[in-house]
Amino acid sequence: MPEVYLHRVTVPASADGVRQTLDEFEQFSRTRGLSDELRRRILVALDEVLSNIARHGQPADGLVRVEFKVAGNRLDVSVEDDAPPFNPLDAPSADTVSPLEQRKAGGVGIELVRTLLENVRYEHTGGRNRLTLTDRLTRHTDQS
Amino acid sequence: MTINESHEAGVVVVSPQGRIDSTTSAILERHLQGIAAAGQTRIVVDFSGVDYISSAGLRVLLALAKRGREQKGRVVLSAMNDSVRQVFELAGFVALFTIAPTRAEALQSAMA
Repeated sequence: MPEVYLHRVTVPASADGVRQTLDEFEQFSRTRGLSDELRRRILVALDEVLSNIARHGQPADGLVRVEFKVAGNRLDVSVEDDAPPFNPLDAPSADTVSPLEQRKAGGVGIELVRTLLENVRYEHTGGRNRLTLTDRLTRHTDQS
Repeated sequence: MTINESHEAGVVVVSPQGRIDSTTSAILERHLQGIAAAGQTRIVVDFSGVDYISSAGLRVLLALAKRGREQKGRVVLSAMNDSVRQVFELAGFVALFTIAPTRAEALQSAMA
């Protein structure tokens, strides 16, 4: 069994909560020796997911629970809240091709969440939304 | 977020430091709006000190590009790390900007 490193944070569903979680993930990345490349991809995705909850989610308890987990070569980052069921992955594809004059930035964030990481999944269980971002610490399978 | 600014041969070079995300993008936005309000239309955004950018930052740069087009100015981005470049590619933003590998080349391009 690989060693498991787990870090949990509970923050308010607000801009301050986003900042605190991103700072905690920076710290976790340093402690666990994550590559800059992976750390940045997770931070971009986390910013999208958390700022979206802070703006629109309205969890009843006002909180977001985030868990960072490294097990062997695998990294899972899950974001959980008790807001009404909402799957951000259902959002339509963003416009990434229109010329400048017609280009809108809407939807680009969730497009990045969908494409930056190896796997992203949504579940709604026990009255809670949970989005989990998964990737590998290294892309070399012999180190897993 | 710290933003360094320098003026060279009629070009404003803006160098944000650190991350450009939902927690910092408003600072960059205000800075760039200030430059526009001062009538500066030749702008280089130097990414050499930028760790990563999320969509909140892309939104600010899209507004900068649109302003640049309207004012017939010149906006050039430079010195992106691979992570920033990847986000630009996935968002389809590479086609919207002139992107130079170095600050010096960006400056040349903005002067042209």
